[in-house]
Amino acid sequence: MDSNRLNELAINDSGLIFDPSTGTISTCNPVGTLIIQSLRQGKTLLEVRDTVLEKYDGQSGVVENDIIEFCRELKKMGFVGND
Amino acid sequence: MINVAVTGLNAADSPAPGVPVIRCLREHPNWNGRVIALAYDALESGVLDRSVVDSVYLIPYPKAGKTALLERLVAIHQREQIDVIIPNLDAELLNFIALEPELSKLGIRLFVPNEEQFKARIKANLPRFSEQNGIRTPQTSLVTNPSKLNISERDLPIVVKGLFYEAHVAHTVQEAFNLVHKIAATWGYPVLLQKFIDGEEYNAAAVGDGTGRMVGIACMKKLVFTEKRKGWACVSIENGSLFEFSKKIVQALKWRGAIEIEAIYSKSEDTFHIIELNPRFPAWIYLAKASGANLPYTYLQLALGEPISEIQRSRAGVVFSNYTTNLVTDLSSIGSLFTSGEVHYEKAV
Repeated sequence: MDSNRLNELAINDSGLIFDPSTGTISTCNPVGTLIIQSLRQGKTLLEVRDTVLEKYDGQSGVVENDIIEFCRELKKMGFVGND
Repeated sequence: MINVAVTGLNAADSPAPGVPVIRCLREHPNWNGRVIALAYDALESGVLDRSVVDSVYLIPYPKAGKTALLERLVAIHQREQIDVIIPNLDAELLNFIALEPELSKLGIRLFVPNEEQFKARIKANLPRFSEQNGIRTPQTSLVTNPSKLNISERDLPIVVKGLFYEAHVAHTVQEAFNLVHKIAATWGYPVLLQKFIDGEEYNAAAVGDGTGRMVGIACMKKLVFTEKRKGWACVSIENGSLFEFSKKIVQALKWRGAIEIEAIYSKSEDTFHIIELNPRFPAWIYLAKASGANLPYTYLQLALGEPISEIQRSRAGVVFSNYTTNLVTDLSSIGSLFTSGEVHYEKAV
């Protein structure tokens, strides 16, 4: 995941995401915010999964798939590059 | 104390830039001046707002020509001692450009491009300008004779544009033909057919000092559109590629004054294309000031010959929206505008 690109985004605590270079505005829920913040710290997929599971209940495999799907959405919206 | 005359005071559904330009000037901490509105019609909405203008004078429509305009400006100047005029409408600019030397002799300063620069960026000349300077613009052809109109399925979708105003996307050949005739009926020929570029639209407002240097820029992305695809709400952005793209345009034109760059970013080509270059401030220019780049004030400083050491750049994340309100005034207080073509408000609020 291109964490440099993610670091350029403005994200507030309520889940508002703003890309200052494209003007794209979006929102995400607290789990999404946590995933983005973890990715910005350069965490791997498994580390992000563990971070999510520390705070929320869920099955490890399901959470992992949800994170991958969420990353696809971020890419589709242009919030991350192709890395 | 400085006297600045400003045109383009209508603030209708597709607003002119005059009122936001004045608000930018008035809200600059160093502003100390009077604003003289130059209006083409007594009911241009901005002239009714006495918090914006100090005096209002009617001027002849651009088609009356430069001599009529000069005569009127000389008469106004005798009353107002105008220091600077900021023209804000495309259709009037050539008259002002032609009058710059004579106005300068009277002590009235303009900061506008020359005729050659002005014409290099008109829609019909954009392909040539782009080719000469390695800047992308969608492939464009001119329709001058409707009987030779040739549009096929493989051209679709296609953008149909008037030479000065209006642009629509046609998705069928029939729709394209209809749009050509509709635009020609309103604005005349030529009508432009432009290749449709699939991408995101961005806008930049910039000020060039006439030597090729861009001294200020504000960039934005439209968030809400009107039926005519004009931006109603937008957000300021900081985009390095758009900055460089705009800088290259200002440099290539050696632009003197204000310019709006309408661009489209093609993701598949990873490049910007020029859609239009407007020779003035855009109607959203208040966003520039609100996001840290008071470009109208920078323009005023250039017109007054003051040096601009640092480039003015807006910051990202300021949201702007037009909204409509109502202005009321007693007919008797603006009656002189109808009868003698001028009105003077006692003091701006």
